[in-house]
Order: sequence, then C-alpha cells, then structure tokens
Amino acid sequence: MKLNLYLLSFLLSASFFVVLIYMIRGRKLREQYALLWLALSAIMMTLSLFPSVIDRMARLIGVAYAPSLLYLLGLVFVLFLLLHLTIAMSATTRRVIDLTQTLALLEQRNISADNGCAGQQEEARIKLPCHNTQVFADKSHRTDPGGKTI
Amino acid sequence: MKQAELLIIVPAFNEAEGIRGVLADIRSRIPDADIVVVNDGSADATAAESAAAGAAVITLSCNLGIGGAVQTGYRYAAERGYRLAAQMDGDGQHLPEEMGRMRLALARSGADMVVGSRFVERRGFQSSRARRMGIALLAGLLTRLLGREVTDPTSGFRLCGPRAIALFASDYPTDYPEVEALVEMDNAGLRCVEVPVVMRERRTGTSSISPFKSVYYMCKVTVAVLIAKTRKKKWSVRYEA
Repeated sequence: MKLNLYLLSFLLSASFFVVLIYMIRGRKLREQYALLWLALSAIMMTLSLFPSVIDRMARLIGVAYAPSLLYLLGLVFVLFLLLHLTIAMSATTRRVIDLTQTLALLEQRNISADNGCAGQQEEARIKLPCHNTQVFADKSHRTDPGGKTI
Repeated sequence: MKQAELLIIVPAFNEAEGIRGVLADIRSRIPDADIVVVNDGSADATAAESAAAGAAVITLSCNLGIGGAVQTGYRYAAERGYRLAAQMDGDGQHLPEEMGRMRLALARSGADMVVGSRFVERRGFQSSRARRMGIALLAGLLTRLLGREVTDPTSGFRLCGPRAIALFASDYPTDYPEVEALVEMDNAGLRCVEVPVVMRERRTGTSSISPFKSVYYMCKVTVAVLIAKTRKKKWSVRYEA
C-alpha cells in the first residue's frame, strides 16, 4: 500500500514534468519561469522516490513531525513564487505604460505630419477638422468602453 | 512654424461634454500658449471634440490613469522643447485667467514649479468638508516631510519650468500622482512654490475619486509619499545632464 502511494506521487510529479516540457516547447511558458517550475518538479520527483530525505532533513533541523516540514517548504515556495510574479507584473505594467505613451506620441506626430500642419495652421484645422476628427472618431469606437486602469 | 513658449497639458478622460468650452476658454485667456489634450482612452468623443477646438490631441490606446496621461504631456513638452508646461484639468475647475500670475510667480521666484493652491487665501470653491480634511492631513504630512509650508498638495493646477519638465518626462508617479510628485521633486533637489488661486466647481463629468475610493486614496497616497521620501539619496552623487 505504502509503495503504491509513493509510486503514484512519483507518476504525478513525472507527468507534471512532461507537461512542463510540452509547455516550454510550445512557447507557452518562458524559459525564465520554466526553470523554476522544472526545478520544483525535479524536487517533487526526488522526494517521492526517496521519502526518507524529508525525515532526515526534519531530524536535522529539529522538526518533530516530518510532514509539516513539507508543508512549510511548500508554503515558502508558493510565497516566493507569488512575490516573483508580482515583481514581474509590476515590470510589465511599467513597460506597458511606457509603450502606450510612446505609441500615442508617435501617432500624434504622424497625424499632424499627415495634416501638413504640425500645429501652425490653426484656422485650417478648425475649418477642416475632418481628418483629425475622423481618425479619432474611429478610434474612440475601437477603444474598450470599460477601459480598465492598468 | 513658431512654437509657443508655454504648453498647456489637459489630461481628459470621457470629458466630451465640456472639453470644447474648457479649451476655448483656455485659448482665449492664454492666447500665446499651445494646448495639448491627452485623451486617456476615452470611450466618448473627447478626442474629436478637442481636435475640433483646435488643440493637438494625443490619444492613449488604453486608459493609463491620470499619472500616465499627465506624463505623456510632459514627454510631449520635453520632446518638442517647450520651456514651460502647465497642467490643467479638462473639467473647467482650473481658471485659465490665473495662469498669468502663476507665470509671474515662476519667473520671480526662480522655482521649478508653481502650484495653484485653493487654501492660501481660501477663496472660490473649497471642496467638500471631508475632502478638505483629507487634504489638510496630507498637507500637514508634506509640510513636515519637506520642511516647508504646503497647503494644497492635491492641486493638479501646476506650471513647470524646464527642469521639472525633464524630471516628470522621465519619471512621474502613477495612480494618484499629485502629492507624490511633490516629494519626487524635492528628492531631485527641485523647488516649488504655491500661488493662491481661485478654483471653480467642476462643470461637467464626475470626480475620479468616489467616497469609497477616498479611504483607499488616503492610504495609498500616504504610503506612497512615505516610501518616496525614503528614495532621497543624500549621500550619492547625482548626475544631471
């Protein structure tokens, strides 16, 4: 019975490993994060093959109930992973803001160049706002109405 | 093409209803300034209305919030080499006729930024009591942190000189940026002064800060300000271009 349980957990970890490899191959997971996950699945496989490792580690640091060490390690890992993701998300947000601004500035420059009136022909623009208006009117429809603040 | 010395940055999010009147008002009161509207991903005709009023329009493809929008304006000002850049709300709260005094104050004081404050002379629209209390708390915090009197840290009616434009173009806080920006300026060794102004109650649209959000606003701004304060590097050499 005991052996079966360990075998089952090994099979689970191994299939997790295989799924990871497939995800990386399909470029669904960037290598940068994938390495972390691969390391985790390697540890999972090792522990399911040699469960005594946990017992020995528990004895070494003086944890009375070995499985609770497993929970602790798991929790710490998840916390670190979450922190890592939040940091990555903050960096992405910063980049999105920068890109959105750069794009908008370039677009504005483009449109004013198209109009041939980079700000100097006030009258012409007031009389013939069609180009400007048209472009922006089209755009405003495309914009997600419930646009969320990043 | 003769470019003006002063650029008026008007961040706008769904202000189609009133933006044309606000821009016309600015244009007639400050005829020697260029106006740029930063349309922060509005779902209405804000961009078309602004273009029709003769302003340059920058449309952000998704909503970045006031900080991201205002920074776009400062980036525009820095790129085009404007010497002065002012930010004014798109809802008509800020009176363009005050700009003359603000420019004078900037020139006379030699500061890098002038902030229009409602609470120096306490004239005009003074906001609701709850909001005044919140602002007073933040003002007290800032006065202590910066070591000089600040009465209206949340005012978005500001006029910047070249150094402040360069600073904000490269780095501007997000979410509720006004208060944090003051600390950021102080960290960079830039100076800002307040000038008493009269503000109007907004004519159209609704405030971005609902009662529910105001508690979050106070917490976020307080934490952000305190953290921003710790960024000041007293010991390191600052490289300036």
